[in-house]
Amino acid sequence: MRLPVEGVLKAFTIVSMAAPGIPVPFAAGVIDLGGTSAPGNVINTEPDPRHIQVGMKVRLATFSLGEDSAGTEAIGFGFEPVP
Amino acid sequence: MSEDLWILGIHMTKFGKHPERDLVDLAAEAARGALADGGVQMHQMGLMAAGCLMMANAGVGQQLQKQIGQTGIPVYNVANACATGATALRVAAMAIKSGEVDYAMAVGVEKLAGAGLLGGGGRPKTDDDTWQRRGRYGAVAPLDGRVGTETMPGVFAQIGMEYGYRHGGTSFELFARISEKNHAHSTLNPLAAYQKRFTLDQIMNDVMIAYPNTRPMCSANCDGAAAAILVNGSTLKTLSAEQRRRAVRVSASVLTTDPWEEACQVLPDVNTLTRNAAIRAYEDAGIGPADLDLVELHDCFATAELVHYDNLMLCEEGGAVDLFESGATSRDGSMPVNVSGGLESKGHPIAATGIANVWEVATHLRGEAGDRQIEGARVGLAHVIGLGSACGVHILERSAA
Repeated sequence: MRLPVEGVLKAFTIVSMAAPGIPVPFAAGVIDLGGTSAPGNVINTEPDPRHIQVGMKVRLATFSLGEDSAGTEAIGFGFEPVP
Repeated sequence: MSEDLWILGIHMTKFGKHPERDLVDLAAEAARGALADGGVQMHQMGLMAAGCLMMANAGVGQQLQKQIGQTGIPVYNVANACATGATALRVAAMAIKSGEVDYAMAVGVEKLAGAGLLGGGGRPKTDDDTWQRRGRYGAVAPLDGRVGTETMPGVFAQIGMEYGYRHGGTSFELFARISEKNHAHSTLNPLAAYQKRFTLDQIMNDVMIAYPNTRPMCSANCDGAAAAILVNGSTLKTLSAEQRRRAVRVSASVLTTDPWEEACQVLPDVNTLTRNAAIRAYEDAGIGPADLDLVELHDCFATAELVHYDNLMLCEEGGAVDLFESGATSRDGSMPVNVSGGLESKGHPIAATGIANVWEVATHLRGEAGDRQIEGARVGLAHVIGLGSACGVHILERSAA
């Protein structure tokens, strides 16, 4: 199933407390991608309710999850605000 | 024809910290309390259903029998997320309704004091330090914190926020006021883990767990147990006038899971199965939401309480904010919700919760709720939901005897 890369943030939370090893705070959200809901972090903006609101337009963006010992970089995805 | 279903005896322990007492001690107090409350004895029970989520493989039912009476009856140890207690009750209910047994015991027990954050898997160290695709989704790393959140406060925060997106009217302050209500209710409940009244400022400025849920807006992990004795209608008729007067009719006992929908199979949907359970329960009981005198619903987080006003049809679709703003869900309102203090202050020892909320409703219907009694309560509803998902709804009615 192909999903659009741009959608609407229909829910979010700013996680301030998480399991050990997970950097906080971060913004997690549920994005409506053309009628299909997908989970993802809201990235490339401050994890703060002043910068994130439900109903805002967001688009797919990638970020580095880091390199392993063999030098392979893993790429994660999130959603950033559409300016 | 299936049998009428009644609660003959029911008991909950004080919720809170019980460092000196283990699971069996707590379950035994609840079970013996329920037997005594119903005026019956262990040897009369035809079946036991025992719930304990965190020790689901421990055979808690058999351990409990060794403490309170090994009569050789079948034990069903059940685990069904936060609906575990309601599931135990439902198993006992099915045994009665089938006509197989006259009396059945349901018990739920949990030791959770100090358990901390639930739901997130964390990031365990792996044997190798190279990215490898693993598991069902072929992910190279755990998803929690990388593709959204898996911890309960965040998951349920999103559920409340999504309601606001669809219907408007929500805010951090609104969710905090729901918590303020439940904490105020708890001050009248001596069995609540916390009986502390919070001001709105205190709630909003407490430790943020997952916006908009601060710590007092989250259910309290604690220890506790609850048990109920169910009986069929024809057996009840043979019992004393006092037993018949105090018996509480179970006019609906419903358990649902997610129906198939063309939707994401990863994100939880707490709404559809709750609404389905409520519709079925109202049908079975032959009543509507307007007939309810009180409701105990699954406020695992303040953000969850709001959506369940709507899912349980306590308001028009989309009208949950208006219902709360009207004051209806306060204990002096027309549709009191969580007069026990709810999971946020009474506490949430997971497997006990789905029987303890039935205890709360039954206690009001019997007119035995003391300072927090809802006067003249005749009909009430108890609701729990566990992610995965499972939803239990019970509708109870005061005895006419």
